Amino acid sequence: MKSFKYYNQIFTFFFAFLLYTTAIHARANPPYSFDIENESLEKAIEKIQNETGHIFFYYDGIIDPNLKVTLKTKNLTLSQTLDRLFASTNNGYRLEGQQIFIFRRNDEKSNAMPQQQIRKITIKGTVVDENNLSVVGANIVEKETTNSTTTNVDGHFTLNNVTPGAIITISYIGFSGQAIVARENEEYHIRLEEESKTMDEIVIIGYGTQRRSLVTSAISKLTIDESTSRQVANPSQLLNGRIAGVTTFTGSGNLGSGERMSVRGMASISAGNEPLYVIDGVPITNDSGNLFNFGETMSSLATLNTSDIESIEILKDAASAAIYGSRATNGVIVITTKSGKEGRSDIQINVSTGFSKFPDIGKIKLADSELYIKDYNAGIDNYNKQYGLSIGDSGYKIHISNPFGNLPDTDWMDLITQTGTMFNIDASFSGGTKKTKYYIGTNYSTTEGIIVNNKMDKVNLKAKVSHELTPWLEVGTNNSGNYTKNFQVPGADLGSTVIGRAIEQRPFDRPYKPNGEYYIGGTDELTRHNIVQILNEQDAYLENFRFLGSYYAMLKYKDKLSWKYSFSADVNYTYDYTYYNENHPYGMGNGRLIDQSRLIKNFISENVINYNDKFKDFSLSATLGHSFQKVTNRNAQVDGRGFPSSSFDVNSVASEILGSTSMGVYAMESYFGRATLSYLDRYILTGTFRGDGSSKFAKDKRWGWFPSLSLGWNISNEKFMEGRDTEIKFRASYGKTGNQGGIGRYDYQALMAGGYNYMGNSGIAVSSFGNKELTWETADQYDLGFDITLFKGKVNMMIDVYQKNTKDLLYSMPIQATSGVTSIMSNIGTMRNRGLEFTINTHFTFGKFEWLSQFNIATNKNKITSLIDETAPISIGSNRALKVGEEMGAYYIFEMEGIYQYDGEVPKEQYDIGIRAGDVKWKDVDENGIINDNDRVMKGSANPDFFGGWNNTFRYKNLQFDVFLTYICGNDIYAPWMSVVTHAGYHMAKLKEYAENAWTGPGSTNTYPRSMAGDVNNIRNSDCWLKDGSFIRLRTLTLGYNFPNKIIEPIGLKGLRVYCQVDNLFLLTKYPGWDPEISNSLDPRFIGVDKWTVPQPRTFMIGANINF
Amino acid sequence: MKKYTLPIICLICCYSCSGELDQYSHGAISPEAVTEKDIPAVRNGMYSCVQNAPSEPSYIMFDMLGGVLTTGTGNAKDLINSTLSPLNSYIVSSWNGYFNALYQVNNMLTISDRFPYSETGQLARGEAYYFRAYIYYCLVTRWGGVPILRQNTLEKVSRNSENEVWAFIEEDIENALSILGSTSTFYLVSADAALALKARVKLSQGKMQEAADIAEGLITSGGYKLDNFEKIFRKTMNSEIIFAFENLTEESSINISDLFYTYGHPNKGQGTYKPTPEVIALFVDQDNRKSISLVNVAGTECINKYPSGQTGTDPLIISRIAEMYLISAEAKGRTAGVSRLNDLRKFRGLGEIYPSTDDAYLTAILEERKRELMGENFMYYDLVRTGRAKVELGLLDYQMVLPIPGKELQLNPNLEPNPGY
Repeated sequence: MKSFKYYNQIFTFFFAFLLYTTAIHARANPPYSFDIENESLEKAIEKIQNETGHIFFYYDGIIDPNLKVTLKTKNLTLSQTLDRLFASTNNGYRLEGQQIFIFRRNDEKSNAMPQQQIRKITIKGTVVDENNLSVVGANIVEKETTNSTTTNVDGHFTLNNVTPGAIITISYIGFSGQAIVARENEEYHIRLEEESKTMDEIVIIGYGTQRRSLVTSAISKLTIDESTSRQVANPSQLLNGRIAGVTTFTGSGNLGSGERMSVRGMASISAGNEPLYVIDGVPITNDSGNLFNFGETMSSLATLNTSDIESIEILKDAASAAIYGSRATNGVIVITTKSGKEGRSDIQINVSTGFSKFPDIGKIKLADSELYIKDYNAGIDNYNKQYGLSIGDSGYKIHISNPFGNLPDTDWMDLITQTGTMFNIDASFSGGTKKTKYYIGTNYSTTEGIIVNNKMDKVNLKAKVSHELTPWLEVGTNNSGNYTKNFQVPGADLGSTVIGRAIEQRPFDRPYKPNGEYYIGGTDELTRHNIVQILNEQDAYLENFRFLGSYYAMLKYKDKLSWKYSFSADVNYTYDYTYYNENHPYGMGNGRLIDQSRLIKNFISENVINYNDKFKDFSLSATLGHSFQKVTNRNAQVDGRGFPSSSFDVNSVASEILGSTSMGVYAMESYFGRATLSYLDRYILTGTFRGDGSSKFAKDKRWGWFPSLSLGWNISNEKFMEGRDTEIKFRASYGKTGNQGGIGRYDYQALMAGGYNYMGNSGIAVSSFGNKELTWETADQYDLGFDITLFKGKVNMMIDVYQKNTKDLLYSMPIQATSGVTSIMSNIGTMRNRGLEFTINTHFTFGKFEWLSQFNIATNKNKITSLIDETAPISIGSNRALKVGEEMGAYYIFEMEGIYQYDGEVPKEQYDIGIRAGDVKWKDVDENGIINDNDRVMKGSANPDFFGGWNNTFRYKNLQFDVFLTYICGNDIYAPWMSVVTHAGYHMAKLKEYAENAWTGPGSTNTYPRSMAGDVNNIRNSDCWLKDGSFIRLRTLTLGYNFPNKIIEPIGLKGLRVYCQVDNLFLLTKYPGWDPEISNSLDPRFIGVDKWTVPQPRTFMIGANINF
Repeated sequence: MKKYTLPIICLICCYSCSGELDQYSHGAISPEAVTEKDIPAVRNGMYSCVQNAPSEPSYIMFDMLGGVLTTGTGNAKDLINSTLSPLNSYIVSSWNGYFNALYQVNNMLTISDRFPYSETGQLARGEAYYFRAYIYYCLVTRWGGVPILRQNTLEKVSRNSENEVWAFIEEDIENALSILGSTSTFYLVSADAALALKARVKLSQGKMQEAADIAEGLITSGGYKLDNFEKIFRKTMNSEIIFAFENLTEESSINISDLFYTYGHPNKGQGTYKPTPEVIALFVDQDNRKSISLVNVAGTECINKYPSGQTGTDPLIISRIAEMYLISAEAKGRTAGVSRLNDLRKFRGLGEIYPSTDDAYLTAILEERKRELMGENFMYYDLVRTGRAKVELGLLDYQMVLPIPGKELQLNPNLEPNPGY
């Protein structure tokens, strides 16, 4: 649990530090008596210096040496004393900690004391741990300056240029921080205590923060550090395998592919199953990043900079998420970006470079030309024989032969894949004082995919500033500009799908004719599109510009009450360019350019009032707020056809131009509040509520109310637990959350939509029936949990059991087509998700060797508990159904019972349509001899039985080695690609396994059907293509080395780490395809389908982290 | 002051935000908001939906099932077998599409009821009756008896008998004829369009005399005469077409050419369906329809009646005068009808024929229909209604109608499936 610890450490340290500084002030400010008569001012100063320990600084000559002062005080504070002392002089003063600066009255106050004039000292010391072993690499920082160093191998440090009396902080990961006052000629011996408490970690909760010990809900936190960072485009991928109960994957291994994130299962059918993303307090939109359908959904989150992220919190249960009310059913992902830290001034530069490869490219084995032709001709023979055809008959099929004689087969996969290189650099400049904090970050990266032409460039800029103008007013802003340009390749759902159009070609097919022209796909010469032609003759890219900005002002009254107003904007501009030139199959003859753009404006105005107070043993914190959010989308599309030549690529020259624009608005207004009451940190009660009004529902159905209540019991704070090195907290929560994502903006309204034109005249037609009854989908969520820390923090565990009951499921309910439509958006049915999550983190030290491990495992069981009055499966898509009692994501397919071995076994109804021995015997559920829709069965599910991840960190001196495994068990993958390459007689490649083992006679096989030209029976959507998707993946392997200070200090560095990382080094799975952790569709109803999806790449990378 | 802060904020925000939660579409209006002024737009919407909603494959379904087309396997039977399944997506999209079109047509009738004095409303009413008859003709020839919906309904309806559907079609055609007149363009529904449909409907029911009379009436009306394929199928003014959907590229989702041309053709297409060798063999060189009917693209014969490929879309012809020649020839019988058949053959560059038996005559008629109307959605039902489908296409008894989509049967238990599927 290194990440938890790190945080914990920092925050504890700050906490301790605050206490410490307060103590100093307390010591400095006791009433003080002073007595001097007719002495020089210099003398008076010396006297105060001696009596109080404060140190005075001033230029020579600014104090009048002839001035005599007289002052007698009793029980005045030092400031009051000084006020009087200087009242009759030309001087003023400034009291800062232990230091008093004197200046001439008419001087500019803030510049009164040039630093070089101050006498600096050097301090020295040693840092050891509880066992008196020296601590290497501890940070030694002079407070409120950038002056810092780290301890060397012997635990020694020397810090130069220290202002006498300054506060020096000493910190090290995993230990409590300490602070000392700088004095000359003192040899400091500092003993750091190992940090054991995890309960003081600060956790970001909705609209605020909270100490971990007060958290009564299920919140998981991932801190992004050396162990957890990966080279990914999409922040959600950082969570892959890290958090119990959270699954996340991308649609494919192509760059910027859309993500699917699920927190505690899928709680909705179609009202959106994506969690709400909140970045630095701003709920962002998460529309797909692409406009033109290029075969897969792209991520709009891929535009964000992952290196700016400090931590990601996942609000998993209702008690934590309900304050985000309407969008919280699927959990909330709270992303916090880095900020400047008080007393630091850092320049951090990270550079990395590497390459990625298509993993296990030879895994899928296809028949070579010889085998292919043999198998194909066997199918022709079977056909001619079955229908009694001989040469000359109509319908007689003739044998094929290799049209290219003995030319070698084409390696199509080699033609479309590449070794993609990448380069990434980011730099951040951050720092701060007590009042002002800033962070400036930039990032540039360029990454090539594993498919030819796939490339993504990314630029991010960020600036974050906050300043406390007065003790009661703080203002701040946080802006980021993000840009990506993604050169796309066709995804798996497009007719020009990259892998499909390569691997499905017959083994002897070739991309180029002898004269250098392309073979044209879809003709007898080449069955599938010529993928080489497709990749060469198209130009497709996607540009995303995203501005995230937030501005706030906060009024504070003491530490008790604050009112924060913020205005945030999330503005996303997408430009999608797809050009098929005249030589491209989709070029429509003379070229086609689809030019699309979209502007999404998401504005949020928010007022939040926070109140904290203590009454004896009770402490109270309360939050009350209002927010208004409005999201406006504007789309424009210009589809031009007919270009003079392929070098023209703007639509102004197109001979035919079709254009359209559209606009949609959605608004939501919310009231929310939270109160946390705790007694001695022992018993904690938290209640939240949120009321949301959404424009997606009719007026009287518009408002949804989402309360939650949670209890926490810190058992370890009880008297009977005193003195034990164990911490236990029990949590229980109930809450209600809502959902309205995924549905249309105007779904409740019956609409006559425009655009139904005829003969160039505008027309309107009923496009939607509407449903005035449409209202919020809500989920009742229950959570019970334990947080347990053992052996002074060496082991800590988090256990949660939950149940989520969703009701009024928003679903585009299929209805009979005779009504005029095929579905109506309705609130139907209920669903239940139940699960268990377990996380265990350990941290053991064996001398200089450290082992940290984080293991998580979770299970979730989804069940549809009602669907209006339907008991029969509602068939959706081509291979799924929704059925009461079954999981969402369950397959609805035919079941193979074997192969008919004799013609006599074939029922008459099937015999009549040409089924014979050697064909697949499907389970005939209704036993009527006919195989039709009624014979499909619910079988298997895309949902896993259990899943999680296991990270191990090994540290020895400055070396750190991380091994991170992820696993999923019990999920079924539906692999339609197999049905294409096992299908006889369709001029497409065939799996070697199927060609070699095809049925040839009774008893030859009960698995592989016969070869049969024109077969339509053997490739039904069936369990033949349903494969176990369980896997263990070596997600990342990282070896890092931190250079010791004695090497880097002389060259002016604060830190230098070099590392190498391998991502996806191996994958253990029985799945016959490349990657079971991808999915063509990101819709939870249809996940787990692999149609030749590009797998996740295998990436090798080296990099350096440099800190000035 | 502070204790008033929250109420004040709330007040300000309520004031400013409450109206913002009423958001309405920028590309649509509420059906209740339709006024007399909107009737022309609703009428265009009806044309658009009847044209587009049934989806692409429904315009060539009878060619797919009629032995005219084949996929990669080169054999018509394979395509028929894979299509005739309750799970087939083309069967599903056709069924859904016709009922969606029907919804818009019934909606037009309802709206025209609300504005009885609107002239366009009345005209649109006539067109709506025509479209309803056309849609039901498409439904009954595919699925047999289907539910008759005089108004739109959300109820789970049961099927009417085939005869009831035919009677309903005839009733609608009469209603249409009582309103419709002539039009400025064959892209709009005229009384003649309704007559042409009526002739087809009568022929389908074996009401030969009536069919022949109507067809003859149109042939001799002087409004139409046979014209060259170069004009009919190349968007040129011609005297053939009685009614067609204009199917403009920007208004259409029906691109048949894309299904016929391969990527080897300059205009490009997916080339999903190719003519069967038997159909190709029907065209002799002197047949002046040949070059427009078929084209050889890089060694592959493709249907050439729809020329746009992926560059655009082509009109969808519903009725043209040549069909009336063939209806007349068939309905009048061998002795009386053969001259009409020969009129057509001569115009198309073929010689006269005089089959010696009624059976041979019917064979000749059907062959001529194949040559003339190939790719225009006729063949399957022609073979079914003449009782030749079983032998000629090798169909099973139950394959004389299409399966009702499995999903529809699941959603509406009152719907009887077509037996056998």
